[in-house]
Amino acid sequence: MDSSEFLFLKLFTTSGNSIYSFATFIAFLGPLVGITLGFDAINNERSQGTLNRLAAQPIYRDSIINAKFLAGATVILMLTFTLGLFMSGAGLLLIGIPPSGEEVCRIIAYLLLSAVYMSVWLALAIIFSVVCKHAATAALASISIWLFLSLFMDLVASGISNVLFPVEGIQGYGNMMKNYELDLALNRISPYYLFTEAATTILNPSVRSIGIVTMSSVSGAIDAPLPFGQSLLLIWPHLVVMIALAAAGFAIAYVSFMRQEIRA
Amino acid sequence: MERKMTRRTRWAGSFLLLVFTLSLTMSMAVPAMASEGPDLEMSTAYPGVTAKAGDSLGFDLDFSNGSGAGADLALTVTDIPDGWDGYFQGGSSQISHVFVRSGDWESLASFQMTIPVEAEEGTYTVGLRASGDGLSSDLTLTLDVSEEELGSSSLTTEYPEQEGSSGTTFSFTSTIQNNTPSEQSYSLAANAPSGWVVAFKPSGESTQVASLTVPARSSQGMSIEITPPNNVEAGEYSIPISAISASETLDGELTVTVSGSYSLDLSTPSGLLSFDASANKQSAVTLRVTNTGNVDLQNVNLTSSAATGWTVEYSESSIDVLEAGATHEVTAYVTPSDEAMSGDYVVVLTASNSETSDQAEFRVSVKTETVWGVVGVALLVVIAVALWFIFRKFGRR
Amino acid sequence: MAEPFIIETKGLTKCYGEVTAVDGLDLTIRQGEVFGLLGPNGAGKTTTTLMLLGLTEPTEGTASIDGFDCTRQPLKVKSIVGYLPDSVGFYPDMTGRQNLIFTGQLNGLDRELCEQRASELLERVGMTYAADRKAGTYSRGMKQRLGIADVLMKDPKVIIMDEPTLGIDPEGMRELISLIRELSVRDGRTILISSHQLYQVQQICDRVGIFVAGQLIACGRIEDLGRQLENEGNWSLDLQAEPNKKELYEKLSDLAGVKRIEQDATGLMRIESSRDIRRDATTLVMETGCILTQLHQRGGDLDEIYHRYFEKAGESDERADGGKASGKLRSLFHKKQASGQ
Repeated sequence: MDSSEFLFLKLFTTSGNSIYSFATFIAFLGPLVGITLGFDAINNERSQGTLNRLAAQPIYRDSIINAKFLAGATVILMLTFTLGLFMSGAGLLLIGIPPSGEEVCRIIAYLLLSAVYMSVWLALAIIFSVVCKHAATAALASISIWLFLSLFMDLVASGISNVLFPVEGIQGYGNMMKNYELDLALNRISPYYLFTEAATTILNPSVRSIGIVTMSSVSGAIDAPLPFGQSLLLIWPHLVVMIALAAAGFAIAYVSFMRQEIRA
Repeated sequence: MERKMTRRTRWAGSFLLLVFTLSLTMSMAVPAMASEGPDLEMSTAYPGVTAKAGDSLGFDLDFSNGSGAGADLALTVTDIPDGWDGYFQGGSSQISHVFVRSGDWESLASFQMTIPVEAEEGTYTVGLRASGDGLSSDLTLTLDVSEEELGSSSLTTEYPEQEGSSGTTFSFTSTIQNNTPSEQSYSLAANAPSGWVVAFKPSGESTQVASLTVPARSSQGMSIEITPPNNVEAGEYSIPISAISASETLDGELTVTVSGSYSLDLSTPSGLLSFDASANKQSAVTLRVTNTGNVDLQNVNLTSSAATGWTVEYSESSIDVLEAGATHEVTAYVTPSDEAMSGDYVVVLTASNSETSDQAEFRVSVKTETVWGVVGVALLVVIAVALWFIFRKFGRR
Repeated sequence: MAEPFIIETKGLTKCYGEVTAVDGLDLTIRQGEVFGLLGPNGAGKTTTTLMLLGLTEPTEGTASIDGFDCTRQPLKVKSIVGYLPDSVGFYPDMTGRQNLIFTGQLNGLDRELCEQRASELLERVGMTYAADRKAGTYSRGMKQRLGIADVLMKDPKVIIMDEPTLGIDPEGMRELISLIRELSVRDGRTILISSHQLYQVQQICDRVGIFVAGQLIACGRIEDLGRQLENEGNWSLDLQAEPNKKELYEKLSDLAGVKRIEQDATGLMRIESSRDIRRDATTLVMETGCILTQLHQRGGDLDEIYHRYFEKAGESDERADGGKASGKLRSLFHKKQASGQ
């Protein structure tokens, strides 16, 4: 369809010559927001001696970790929506066209997705804040995982898949598909990759498939944007996985916190 | 046929006999000239004509100048019945003189004349004279005016029999000739079978008319457009047409031969050429095959062209007989490839037999199955239950 | 002492894997009492207080405060028990007053009441001057005082203080002691103080329990405990003489009834015996030609009682000669000795 359609969504995905797009920024730096909000959640309370005082108040003990996670998630939600509104507002000034209903839906879905994505990292950081005595340790541990999954997972994935299914030589031709599949599967371990895929799909209606597109799936296809519901269904597994990751992270943090002694 | 002799004379007021004697003398004196007859002769090929009242007639005038020098001749009408009108024409102008060089000249000028409509039957004479430079010649035209024939107006058609397939508009060119001495208004009618459309239009115009006024003794052309209905059966149809005025009725008959047309239409009952499907899952589409021609169709085959990996099956892959105008419903089962992406694909379904075919281009929206959405929701529920279980196990203390 | 028991534990036990931190604790504390739970580091005092608050689940046994089961009704318990942890902390970027109000709100008090009570309590602990400074700028003593105000925010029936005297200067200590006394006498609150600093605690406690290696080895009024020890034939004498001669040490060791002598770097000897040896000891000092510089019969003060009870526990263990618990006990005992007094 016409490229002028979904102009508003382009705001989020267009990058300049020297600056990344909004979506790239969120994908790369969003985790830092989660980590910042979570890395000292429990251990800081512990080290400043407020944890046991807090626990002695007539509240259930799990309220503390629940509150930590919910507060972080709320801040993340507010942050993403503020950023999103800011971008939309700037875009409105810039291009002067109000977004269509579908675009609004897509942007909201994207912002929710970003919030879930950051919450995954929040949950991870909270795990470390429970497990590690020192906030600095927790921060470094979280950041190292972030760096690994965001920057190096790609290299590791292609490395492993190239070793298992070499693409050189005559056999290489037959291995190409398997190589690519394994590469993709390994990459998808990283929430960064999951989020990037999902964000691309939701912000770009012309993306019709996530993953491998063969010649036979392209034949007969009409170049038409996907309706919002279909895009949402495409990224639904990603969203569920990310929610599951956040929930699992939170559960781990929760259990380890509840099993820990309150004493300093 | 009658020829008037003219004699060359230089003396005005001479006596005919004297002139004759003189001329004899002259001829003896100039033997070369005497042997060549008269010096000027104006003639026409057909000086006696039968005509009708109201006719316009033209007589080409030939000149023969034997005087050896050119002569400027005045042309005059010496005798014409009362009320009649005539003039000389040369080129495209009305003329009063003609210059005739020495020699024979054919159709140098013409005499134009209209017989008045009121002229009665009988024989009339018109006298013409050319004179000048001492030369003179007379010509008498004899006109037999016959009485006009009343009631012989006519309605004629150039090609009254035409042939075409159904859906063609047949166009006939007809002329009404009004031979009555008065203007007539003819109302036009055609007796076509029901469902046929007949339109009368004056020549060169696009206005459809119901009646046509034709001046007295003149004709008016018109076109008659006949459109048979789409589902008309093949065969020969004759359509009587009539032009009725106050005093007379003109009849004609047009014949239209509708040849057999083969036409198919492939569509859906709702007319919607799009449907949803899921990858590797069969979707049923009801198709409506209609014989829009006027001939029964035999062995209509249903085929498809779809993308790689797609399969299309029909509830019946061919229809043995599809009667003219009949509609048959067939279900197509479209199974997208298991590698199909979400979004729109094109599938072309074709109905065809040896004579005709039609195809429908379907836009197939491949949808991700909502089952996976439900599975996702179920997973979320499982997660929630797991969290609840953890809360129960470890929480509340 | 006609007051009903407000804190009761029955067979309270907490194990961390192989290690038993609290071993079958039976403790009863009456309403309005100031009870000192004394013991060395790692004796299980903090574990006991945490179990009383329901913050740690006991492996076995029950604890109840004011009729509420500490394990099953932790919220009820926590709403009537104020807990002052050993190193109390506050949110550094909130003022003292805000910290107090936050605590009040956690207890379900409405904002107005919180503000009013916070002002009163800040006044009471003498912190009004610093009430609106960030808690991060507070000194340890100020934090301790704010901690007491924090505990009182919920108007507790029972106050549990974990090492309240730790790291406080003598002046602060005096204020703290008078405050605790006031809380007990004027407000009629029950106070449980766990501490390893015996001297300060004995000034304010109605009763003490001596807690070693998870076991309460003695419990009662301080005088009663002292008397009890003497009756059991446990005497302790501090003796210092000049010059410090080896001969004197040996002779003292040979005295009948002397169980053990420890000597520190200054030459101060602690002599433990099963009878009163003061007369014999002074005679010996004379005989060896030394000048007696210090002679002090110990017994009445808590320090002594504490020390002696450790010893007693060790002895009884040696006699019993078995079990991991006894080994643990002995090692604790020796650690205590090594650290000196």
